[in-house]
Amino acid sequence: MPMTITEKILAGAAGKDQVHPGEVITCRVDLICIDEIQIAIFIDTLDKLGTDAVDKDRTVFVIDHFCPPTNLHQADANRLIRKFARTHGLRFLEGSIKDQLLWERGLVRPGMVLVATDSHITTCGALGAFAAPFGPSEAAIMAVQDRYWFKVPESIRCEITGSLPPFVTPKDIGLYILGQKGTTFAGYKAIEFCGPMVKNLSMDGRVTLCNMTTEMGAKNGIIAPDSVTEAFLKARGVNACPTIFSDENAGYAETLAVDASKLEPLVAAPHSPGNVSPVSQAAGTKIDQGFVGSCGNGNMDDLRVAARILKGNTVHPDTRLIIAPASREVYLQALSEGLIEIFLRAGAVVSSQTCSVCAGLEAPLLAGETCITASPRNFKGRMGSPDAHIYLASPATVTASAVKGGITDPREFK
Amino acid sequence: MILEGTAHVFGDHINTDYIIAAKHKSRLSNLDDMVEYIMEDIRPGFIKEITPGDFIVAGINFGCGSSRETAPWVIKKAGIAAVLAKGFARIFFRNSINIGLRVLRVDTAGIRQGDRIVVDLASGKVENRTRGDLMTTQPMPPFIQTILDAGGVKNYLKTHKTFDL
Repeated sequence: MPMTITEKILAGAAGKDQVHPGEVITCRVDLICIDEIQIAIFIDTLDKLGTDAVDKDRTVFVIDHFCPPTNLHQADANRLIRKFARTHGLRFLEGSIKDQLLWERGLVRPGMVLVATDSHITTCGALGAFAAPFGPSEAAIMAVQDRYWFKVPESIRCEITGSLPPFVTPKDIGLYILGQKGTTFAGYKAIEFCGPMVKNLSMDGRVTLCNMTTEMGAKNGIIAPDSVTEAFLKARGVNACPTIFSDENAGYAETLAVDASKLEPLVAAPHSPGNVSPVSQAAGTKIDQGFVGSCGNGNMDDLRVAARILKGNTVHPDTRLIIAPASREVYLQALSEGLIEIFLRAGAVVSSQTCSVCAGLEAPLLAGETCITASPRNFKGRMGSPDAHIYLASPATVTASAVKGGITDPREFK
Repeated sequence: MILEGTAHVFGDHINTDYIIAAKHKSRLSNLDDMVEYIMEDIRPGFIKEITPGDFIVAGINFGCGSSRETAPWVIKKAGIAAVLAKGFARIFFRNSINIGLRVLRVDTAGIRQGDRIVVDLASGKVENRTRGDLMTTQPMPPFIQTILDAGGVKNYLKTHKTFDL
């Protein structure tokens, strides 16, 4: 029977020829990533299981939220994960957001089963892996056992055609889908992005699309590997790029079609990622803070579009703009391209490679303030005061708005 | 097993940042310290309204947002016996099962704040004693029910060395 790419990956990991949506299976987990936010429960679970035999090859431990820590509790959490990793000789990485770092370093491969204690690990599905979030208790069990239980999700197929107009970005594609379909339509399902537009999309753009599936309720987002994937992996010294794709007549719960040529810059107004409207409807809303960064939009495509808008301009005197490259590698690349200088000369603050403003870990908002952000979520209170307002938008829209001091269509900056 | 308690009604899309605000998740390392802030941004002082054994009653997409296990933990530690909702977000649902917080999918539209609710876990029947309504919970796959009945995945693995599907 024909299968979708997600079904094929799970079937392979379960050692079965065939799986069906809804089926509960046990399968191998290829890579588990745990962070400092969830390490305490991870360790507690190991204690309760009476083991500390964590698989060295299948785990990676990171610090990416408290990077650097801003209070004693955060510093303590960091110490806990560093000590745990060191004591047990486990892989430990810091200085980058995991959802950027893992794929950027070539650790994510097509066909892999990857889990993390992070709702945005869905991002890594851009490499053709099954990448889904789980809690730390489960991650601990996966780290010490051969196999774990999964329920095979149904899949949604999203075909994207056309090409993005200037200053309209993959973020706007995700916002468009959220606006049309809401934040629960993909509940428990896999979302597969395909079509000619996706085939021509950079890895940075693919990553943004997959990142946004979390807010759609999805279990995982995925893009089948192709020549772009192969070239990307080869450049990182990974020569194997397994061919894996959805079968011609595979069954889908739903099929969506998006024509990228018809899109415009969008925003998601407070307090839901699904509260989407054209930027023109929110235009002029005073902006106190802008943020370009996060697991979905802190990569080179994002920083380059921000630099295009900021070059020769300055951040509005009543607005603060924070830019956080998602990884050390992005930061270094941005430095070499002169982008960091453009940001600084424009009056932006360049922060460290961490979740930062997205989760209110830096630059919290006061009551009555409004932030426009390229990060994934705008829940009430997320960035500080519950009486603050958060708009989601593309890095282009965020940057344009930071220059003008109010929500602005980036196309004004041709 | 029969559960009985007061319904504390919330709306749709109650996300994990509402359940326990991000600023507390990063500020506090001890769950006991976090419990008092449960639902603080949308219902300040909620912790004081809870009598152990009560229910949280909600609409669709309860627990959406972060994968942080502290969200269901805080609910369980606050003394909530079960969360009744029209629907749950995926990660929260799994996390709840794994820590033994009962999550029941049921049509909660007719339940109002303060209603007296009785849940018969064996039959799946939910009775609203205040209004005289009767609802039925959506059954869970037997394997998942076994984990919940064991009190969570860690307890399950004490008696079952592997996952017995």
